[in-house]
Amino acid sequence: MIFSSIQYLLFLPVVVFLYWRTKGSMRVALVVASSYFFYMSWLPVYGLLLLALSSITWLLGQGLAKAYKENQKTNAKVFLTLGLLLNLGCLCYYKYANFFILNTLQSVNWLRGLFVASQPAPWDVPILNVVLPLGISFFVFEFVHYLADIYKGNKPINSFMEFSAFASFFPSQIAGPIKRYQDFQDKLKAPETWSGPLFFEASALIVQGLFKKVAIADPIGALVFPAFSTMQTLSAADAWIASIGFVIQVYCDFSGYTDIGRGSALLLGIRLPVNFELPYLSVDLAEFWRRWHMSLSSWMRDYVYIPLGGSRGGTLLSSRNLLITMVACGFWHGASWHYLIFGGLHGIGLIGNREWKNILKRSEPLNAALDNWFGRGLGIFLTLLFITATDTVFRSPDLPHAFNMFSSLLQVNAPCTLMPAILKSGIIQFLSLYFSFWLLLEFMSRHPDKLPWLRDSYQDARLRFATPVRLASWTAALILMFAARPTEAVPFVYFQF
Amino acid sequence: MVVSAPQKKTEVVVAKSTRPRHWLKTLVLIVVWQILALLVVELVMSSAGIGEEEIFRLDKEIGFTHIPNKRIYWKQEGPGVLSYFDSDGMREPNLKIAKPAGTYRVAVLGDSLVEGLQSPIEKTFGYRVGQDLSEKLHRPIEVLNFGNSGYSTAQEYLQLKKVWKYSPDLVVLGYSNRDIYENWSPPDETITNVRPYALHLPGSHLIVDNSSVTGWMRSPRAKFLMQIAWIREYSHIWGLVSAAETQFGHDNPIYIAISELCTKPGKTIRAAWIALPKLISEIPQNLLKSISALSVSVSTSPTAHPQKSALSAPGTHPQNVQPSVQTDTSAGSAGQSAITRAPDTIPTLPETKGLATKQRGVFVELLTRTLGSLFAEMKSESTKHGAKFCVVAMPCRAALCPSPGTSGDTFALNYPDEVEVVKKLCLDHSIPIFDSETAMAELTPFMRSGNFYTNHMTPKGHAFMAKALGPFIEKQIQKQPNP
Repeated sequence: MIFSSIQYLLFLPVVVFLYWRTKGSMRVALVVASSYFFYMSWLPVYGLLLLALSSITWLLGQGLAKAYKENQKTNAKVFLTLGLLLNLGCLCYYKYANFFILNTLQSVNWLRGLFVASQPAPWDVPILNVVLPLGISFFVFEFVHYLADIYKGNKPINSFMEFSAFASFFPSQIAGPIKRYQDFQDKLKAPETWSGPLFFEASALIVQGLFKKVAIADPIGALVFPAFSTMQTLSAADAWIASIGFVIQVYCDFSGYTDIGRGSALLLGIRLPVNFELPYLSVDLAEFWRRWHMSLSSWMRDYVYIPLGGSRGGTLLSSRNLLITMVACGFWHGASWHYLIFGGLHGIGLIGNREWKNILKRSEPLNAALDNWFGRGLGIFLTLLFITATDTVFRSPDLPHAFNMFSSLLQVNAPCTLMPAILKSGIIQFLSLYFSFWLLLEFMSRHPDKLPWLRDSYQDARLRFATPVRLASWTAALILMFAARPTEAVPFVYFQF
Repeated sequence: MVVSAPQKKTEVVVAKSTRPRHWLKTLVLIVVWQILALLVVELVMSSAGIGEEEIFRLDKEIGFTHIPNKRIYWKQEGPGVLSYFDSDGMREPNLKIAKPAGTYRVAVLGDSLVEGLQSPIEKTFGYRVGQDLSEKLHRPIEVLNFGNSGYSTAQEYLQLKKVWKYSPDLVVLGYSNRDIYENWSPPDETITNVRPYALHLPGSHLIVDNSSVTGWMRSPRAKFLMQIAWIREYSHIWGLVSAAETQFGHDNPIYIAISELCTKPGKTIRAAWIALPKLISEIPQNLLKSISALSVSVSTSPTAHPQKSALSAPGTHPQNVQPSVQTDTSAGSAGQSAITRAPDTIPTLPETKGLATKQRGVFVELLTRTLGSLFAEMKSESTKHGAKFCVVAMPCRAALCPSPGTSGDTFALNYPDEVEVVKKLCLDHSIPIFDSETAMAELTPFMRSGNFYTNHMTPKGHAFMAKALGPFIEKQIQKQPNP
């Protein structure tokens, strides 16, 4: 079930209605049942996989907590290792098995060709017929966090039902945000009370997310798809449009998904963590990763970077840790060399970024020269340029396609073919409208006393507009979404991860 | 204490008296802001060229015609094509009604396949034929596109009145799949199914009767459409509604509910209120059904019932499943030709099967005679106006079903058979005919599929058609003396 499908828009109100009609364990059971229904509507048999992984992780968590309580460190380590092997093993099998088999056998064939005098017939590569379970990268990371935190001494979730709700919570199940169980458990036990402002705040998030997905991301996706799929040389203008288009698409798609997920959870009184904080306005790469996919960045920091040693141990070691963390982050996105290179580039970028900051710290005049609007603007521009380049590697189906895109940047005299399609699609208008609306929202947040005619004098702090204005914006958004809708619901980009 | 008591009382009284006024103010503000939102949406859509898919206005004689002076952006098949209907509803740029001296004019009549809104006018087969023959014969040859989505042969016959204004030398009738049934099809909710009747009973004359159209004009749906005629012509939001109508037809329950709510709000709300308890009581049953459907999809391999599973899968393209029952969505086929359902209502039990077959035979014979008479009348009219008349059997993506829920061979007359009938009729009336369906059928399935979107031809298909049709048109031109 895709968030932007009619099925979901029918499913959600039923769940919300039943949720607020139940209490206590019944309510938790309803969350679990609806989450499994949501998950199994895609491929029912993988509901069993989720159930099995959740059950074993929960049991291991109980054992781990007991071992910690009784100070049996060896047992605790065994439980943790088992849990990590099981969860990461599952992830590796479903996501990386074919990648490893393919690359290992290709290497072996290459070596045989080197050492055997008569050219042997290369061994066939057996491809495993596996379908990647939706959201496995996300819930496996949540399970790893759960076990690791109990190992560190945090209390486990004693109720299996509550753990299942954490493991399968439908608003965040497929593409995050990656939750922290302590925070989720508190909110599950004591959700925010149902009220008008809660409903309006949640619905606004859903409408905003749907608009970003349906009216901006999907039409851009349809436009840039041919440019990234071809091996023919494009014009420089087309290559730029496709690369920048994807940068906009991936943000609107992923943050749109998160908005819908957060809105859906908020309708159940549960406030999920924020995942994006205007990442494209970051002045450097480190800030970008603090504002982009924040739940993944913080997970990587807590469970990869810090366990590796973090920034302790000098420049060389911390650079190594940073590089490993970012390569792992890239590889998490998919079993392909271009994801690895994407991660590696960001690792190198972050190391360079840190060194540049050190230079700035040491050079007072340089720091003063750049500590103004020009310096910030330059920082944003260079960061965006780096992101556009690395996202091109990320979006291309493989490395040759990525190189094709980069080499196309030299074709400055070739005619632009994408611009007429962009002008016909309405993307510029939709994007401008959304941007204007966002500017208005930001303005109203920063200047609560300005534009009083747009708000009610007695309105709740959670709401930015008066009801008539809010309803009007929803009407406009819904009609424009209908206008821009694709013939079928398009899956979110991050579903494949 | 003494002072504060009366103050409180006053506050309560004031609050109570202002409450209704506050709600009234909110209501007014909601309406004002909604109108503002709609205006903004219109502005955005207008600048983006979205929602320009309403192309018809009602016509008491012919049923419906193109809206004049209208820019359209047709997105329903293919990448989206901009067109402009001039003051006479024609797509050709800079077209003059008076025929320029020395020009040979060809008028092509037909339905959506001829209209070809999925391709720019310069890439439609008629325009291409005109260009190619002008070059080849070294004389100006104009091919005018009179195609109109959903038109039956009877409507094309009535359209001749408009055609004569342009003084054509040759009239080409594009015959499409299912046209034979559309000459006797009562109107339904879809505007492109509002057609006059044509019937030629044995021992009688051909009758072309528009009472079905004038009768339909009195229906609530027609009144509603006429009341909002201005909105239909100018509103981009309405253009979206119109496109959705064409896409979903009138079989979609959600669409029907919305449509009825707009046209008969009181009655619809009452009916919904009465039906509500039943709907609520059915929720548990439907929930169980959906759960059992989930378990079925676990146990059933998709390959076990490929046709069934493919048909039921959302988003599955019908062309990959069962081409013989594909429907022409652009012509509003979802709610098409109810009269063709009439013989189908005869039960097909063994004891009545013979009767049903016989009645179907009589029905098809009647429609065939009517079609033949329409051809003869069109030929006669053309001769009267100094033009030659010929027929082109248009290529077809797949055999369309005569009515929703029926198979393509309900009347034991698939499209190739239909073309044979048309050929025989043309032979009987000495009308030249070109069979482009056969020309297209000679292509491999892969090449053929490249010539079509869902139902209509791609520019590539138009190019193929133009190449195939060119020599036939050239022959017709050469048979006539220079004007």
